[in-house]
Amino acid sequence: MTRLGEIPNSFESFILKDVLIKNDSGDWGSEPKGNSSGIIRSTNFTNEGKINLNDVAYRSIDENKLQQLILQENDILIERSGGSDNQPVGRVGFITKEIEKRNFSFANFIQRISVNDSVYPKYVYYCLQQMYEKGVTNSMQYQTTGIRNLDFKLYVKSILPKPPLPEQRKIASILTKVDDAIQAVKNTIEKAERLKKSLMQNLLTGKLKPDGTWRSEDEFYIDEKFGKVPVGWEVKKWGQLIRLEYGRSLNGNKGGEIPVYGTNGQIGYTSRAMCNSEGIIVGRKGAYREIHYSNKPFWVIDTAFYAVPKIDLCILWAYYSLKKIDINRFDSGSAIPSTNKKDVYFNKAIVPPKTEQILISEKITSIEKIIESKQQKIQKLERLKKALMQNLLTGKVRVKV
Amino acid sequence: MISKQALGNTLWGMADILRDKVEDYKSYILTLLFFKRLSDNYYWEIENKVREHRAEYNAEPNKRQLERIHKEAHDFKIPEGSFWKDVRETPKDKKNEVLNNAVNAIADLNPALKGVINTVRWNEPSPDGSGGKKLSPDVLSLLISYLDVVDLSNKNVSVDVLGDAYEYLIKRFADENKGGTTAGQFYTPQEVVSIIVRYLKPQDGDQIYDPTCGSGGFLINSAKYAKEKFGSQKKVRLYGQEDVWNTWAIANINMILHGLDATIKKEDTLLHPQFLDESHNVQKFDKVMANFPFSAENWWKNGEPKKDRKGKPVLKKDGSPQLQYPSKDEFADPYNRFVYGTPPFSNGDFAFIQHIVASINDNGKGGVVCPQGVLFRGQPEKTEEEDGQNRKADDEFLIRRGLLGIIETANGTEKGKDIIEAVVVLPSNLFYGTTIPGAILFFNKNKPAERKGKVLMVYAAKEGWYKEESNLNRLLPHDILRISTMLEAWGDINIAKSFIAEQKVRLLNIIKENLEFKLDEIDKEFEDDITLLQKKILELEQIEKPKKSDLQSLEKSKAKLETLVEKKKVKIAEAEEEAEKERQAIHSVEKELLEMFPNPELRKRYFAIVDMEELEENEFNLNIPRYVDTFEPEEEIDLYEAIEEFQKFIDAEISLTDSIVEKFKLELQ
Repeated sequence: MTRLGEIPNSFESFILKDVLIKNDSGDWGSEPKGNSSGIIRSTNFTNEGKINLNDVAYRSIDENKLQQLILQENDILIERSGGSDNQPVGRVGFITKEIEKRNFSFANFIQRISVNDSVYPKYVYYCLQQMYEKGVTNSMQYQTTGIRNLDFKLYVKSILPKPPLPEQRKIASILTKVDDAIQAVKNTIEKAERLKKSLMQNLLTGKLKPDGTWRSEDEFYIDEKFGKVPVGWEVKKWGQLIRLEYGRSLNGNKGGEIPVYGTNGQIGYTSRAMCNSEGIIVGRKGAYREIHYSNKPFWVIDTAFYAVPKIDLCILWAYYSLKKIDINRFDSGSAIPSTNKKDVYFNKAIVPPKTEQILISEKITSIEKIIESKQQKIQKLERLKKALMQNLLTGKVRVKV
Repeated sequence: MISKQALGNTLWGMADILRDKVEDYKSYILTLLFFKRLSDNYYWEIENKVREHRAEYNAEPNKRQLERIHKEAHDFKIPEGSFWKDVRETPKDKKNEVLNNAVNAIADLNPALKGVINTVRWNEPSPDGSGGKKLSPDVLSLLISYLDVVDLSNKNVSVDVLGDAYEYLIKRFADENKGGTTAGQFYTPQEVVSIIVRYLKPQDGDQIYDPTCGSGGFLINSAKYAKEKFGSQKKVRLYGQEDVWNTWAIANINMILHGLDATIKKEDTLLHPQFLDESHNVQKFDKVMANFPFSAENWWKNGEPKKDRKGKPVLKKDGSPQLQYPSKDEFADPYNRFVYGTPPFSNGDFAFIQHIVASINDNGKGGVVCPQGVLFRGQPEKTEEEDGQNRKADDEFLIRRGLLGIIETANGTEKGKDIIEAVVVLPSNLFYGTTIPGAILFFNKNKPAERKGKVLMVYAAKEGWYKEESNLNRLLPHDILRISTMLEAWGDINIAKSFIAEQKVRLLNIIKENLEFKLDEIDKEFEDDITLLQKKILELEQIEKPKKSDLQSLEKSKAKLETLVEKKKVKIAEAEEEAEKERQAIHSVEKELLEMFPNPELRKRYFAIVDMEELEENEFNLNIPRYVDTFEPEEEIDLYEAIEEFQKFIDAEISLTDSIVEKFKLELQ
C-alpha cells in the first residue's frame, strides 16, 4: 500500500528518503542591501503545484550560503511551514530549465529535494502533488504557533509507487502536456482580459464605434469639465442616471435559484428576488468593495446597494461604465470603510444614445463570453488531469511504453 | 566650536544611560541639559562682559565695576552652591538631593524658570518606602559624568547650534515613541511644520500663536523663518499654550535655548484659554498654527459614563466606558468661539478649529493640521424622500459650511466670509502616535479678491509621494517641494517656476544637513568599538615577548577591526547614496511639476481650484476625490496589439489542446 493507494503487482514501490540526494531548507536572508537575489517563498506556490514567478522577493543572502541554495533543474520544492485552515502545508513546485536560468534560491519555510536516477524527477513531483491533493499532507501537519508545519521526517518516509523508469517518463510527459494546455488556456484568458480592457477603453469613451470604425476628431466636442465627448453623447452625473438603494439582510431564507449579492459579489442563493430584473450591485461596506452585474432577478444584502435607473438606460452599459469608477478610493479617513451614495452620484459619465449603449455592451459581452468559455475549458482540463493522476500514478490505467 | 550634529548626537548618548530607568525620561534629560547650560554659560557671561569692558575702556574693570558685571551679566541668576560643579562634586549618595535643591533654588530666584527647570523631582523617594530614590543615584552619577565633559557655554556652543541640537533630541525622543501615544503630543514632523510656516509667511512684527504648542515646533520654525527673511528671529513675537506640565517645560526650555522670548502658558486650551482680551474673548493674532490632538473625546469634560438599565456602565469595543453628554441646547461657550455651531462633545476637532479661527485677526491667517474627517464628516439636512427619514443637518456639516462662507441663521442661511483658502490632503501615518490620515487646513480672514469664493485642493497622499518607513511615513525634501509649489502657485506656472528655483537651494541644503547628522550618527555608533579595538591592538603589539595566545588575540582583534571599519564604510556609502538620490529627486520633481502645470490632464491629478458653485453642488463636502482625480490612471492598451496577441495565444492554445487527445490515443492502453 503506497501513500497514493493500491498498486498492481508489476509496480514496485520506493520510500522517498531512499532516493533523495539533496534535502535541505532555504534561507530568508535579510533586508535587501546592494546585491540582492530572488528567493522563492510560500507566496509563489499555487495549490495546483505551480510556481508563480510574479512576486518573487529580493533579499540579501550570504554569498557562500547562496551558492548552496541556488535552484537547479529537477529540484523539487516542498512548502513545509505555512498553510491555513483550508490550505494544508505540503504544496510542491518543480524547477524547470527556465526557472533554473533565473538563479533563484528559496526561503526558510521551504524544503528542497532532488532525487537519484532510480526515479524520474518530474514523476516524483507529480506523486508528491498527488499526495497533497489527496489530503495526505493534511494528516502530517503539526502546529505549535500560528504556523502549520509539515512533519518532514514522516513525509520522507512516504512509500510511493514505482513503475518502470520508461513508464515514469511517459506518465510525466502526459501530465506535463495537460499542464501546458492549462497554462495555454490561462494565457488566452489573460490576453482576452487585456483585449476586453482595451475595448472598454475605446468603446466607452467613444473613440471606437461599435461598428469597428474610429471616430474622427471632428466627431468630438469639448466639455469644459470633462474634456473630449463624442457628438451626440451627453455629460451627466451618475446621480442623474441611477439611484442607489440599500440592500436588506436575509432572514434564514436560504436555498433557491435567486442569486444573493453582497459587497464582493455573489454569496449564495435564495428563493425570493428583491429586484425582478437584471441589475447592478454596488458594494457598500468593507475595505474592498466591488461592482457586479446580475443578468437575472436577484437579492442584495445590507452590505451593498443596488442601482435603480432614473432614466431609460441599457443596464449592461451602465454596469461597464460604472465599473470605471474606483469606489474604494472614497473612504479616506473613516474607521469602517464604506461607500457613500453621494460619492458615486457626483461622478461624471458620458452617455451615448441608448441604441449605441446596447451595441457597446454587446461588444464587451461577446469577449466576456469567450473568457467564460475558456474558464470552463480550464475546469475540464483540470478534471482531466485529476483523473489522469488518479489512474496513471497508481497503475489503474497503464501507458504504452 | 562644536557642530549641531556632533552636539546633538553626543547629547543623545544620555538617552542610552537613562532609557527604561524612569518614566518620561526625556524630561530628565532635557532639563538636566538646561541646568548644565545655564551653569556653564554663567562663567562665560562674566568673561564675556569683562572682555567687552576691556575693549571699551582699554582697562581691567575695577572692583566696583566687576561687582556690577557680576550682577548684570546674566540672563538667569544662579545662587551660590547651586552650580553644576556643586552637584558634580557631591558624593553619590547626596547627588539626588543636591541636584534637586539646586534646580529649585534657581527656580526660586528666576520667576521665568519656575516649573521649567525644576519640573523633574530628582530627589523623589522610591515608592516602596525603603528610603531609596526613584532615580537610582548610580544612574544619576553616570548621567552627570557623561554630560560633564560637554562644554555647553557660548564658548563652545552657539545659540543656533544649541537650539537645533535640543530640537534634534526632541525629534529623537519622538522617533523612539513612534507607535506610542505620547510622541504626537509634543512633536509635529518638521516637514509639515515648514510647509505650513512657509505658506503662511510670517511678516515682520507678526504675533504668532500656537494654541496646542507641544514642544514649540511651529513657533521655533516661524522664528527661524523670520531670521531668514528679516535678519532676526526676534522680528516675530511668539505665543503658545500647552496643557501637559512636562511638555510645557520642554517648550519653555526650547525657546530659551534658541534665545527667544516667547510666552508659553500652561492650561487646557478649550476649557481655559490663557490669551484673552479685555472683554474676555480670545486674543487675536496675525498667524495661528497648530497640530491639535485629533478627535479629542469629551473635550468639554462634561461626559458621564453611560449606564444601562441595570446601572452598569456601557463599554465601548476597546473596553473604555462609553460616555453620554448633556444636550447642546444649554451650552454657551464663555469665550464666544463657536460662532458656526457647537461641535459634538464627543469630538473636539471643530472645537479646536473654531478656537483657532476665533484667534485669527481680521487680516490674519491660520494653518492647522487636522484629521481628514473634518473634510467630510457631518451630513446636510435630509428629507424623507432622499434618505428614508427626515433628519436635521449635523453640526459638523454646518460648521464646515460656515467656514466656507454660508452661515446658518434662524431663518435660513446668509452669505458670510469664506475663510478656508486651501486644503492639503496628506498621506496616512505621517504623525506620531496616530495612524489617522491627516490634512492641513489653511485659513485666511482676508483672502485676496481673486481667491474669494475659491478653495485650493491639493492632493499629496498618492503612493510614491512619501517615503514608507516602518511605523511611520515621511515626507522627503522633494515631496515638500511638490506640496509647497502647488500651494504657493495656486495654479500659476510662472509663480511655480520662481518658487521652485528659490526652494531648491533651501531643500538641497536640508539634504546636506541631514546627511551630516547621519554621518555623525554613524561615527558615534562605531567610535567606541573602534577605539577600544585600536587600543587593544596597540597594547598587544607592544608586548615584547608575545605568547601564542597574544598573537592569536592580535589576529582576531585586527580582523574584527577590519570588519568594523568595513561596516562603517558601507554605512557611510549608503547614507551618501541616499542623499544623492534625494538630490536627484528634487530635480525630477521640478521637471514633473513644470510639465504638470500647463497640462490640464495631468493637473487634475494633483490639485484643483474649486469655486463656490462646485462646493455647493457637493454639499460642502471637501473629500478630495470629489475634486482631484485620485484614481490611478489605467494603462492604455493598444487595441490592434491586443487583438493580435489574443489571436496568437488562442491559436497556440487550440493546437495544443487538440494534440492532447491525439497523445492519449497513442499512449494510453
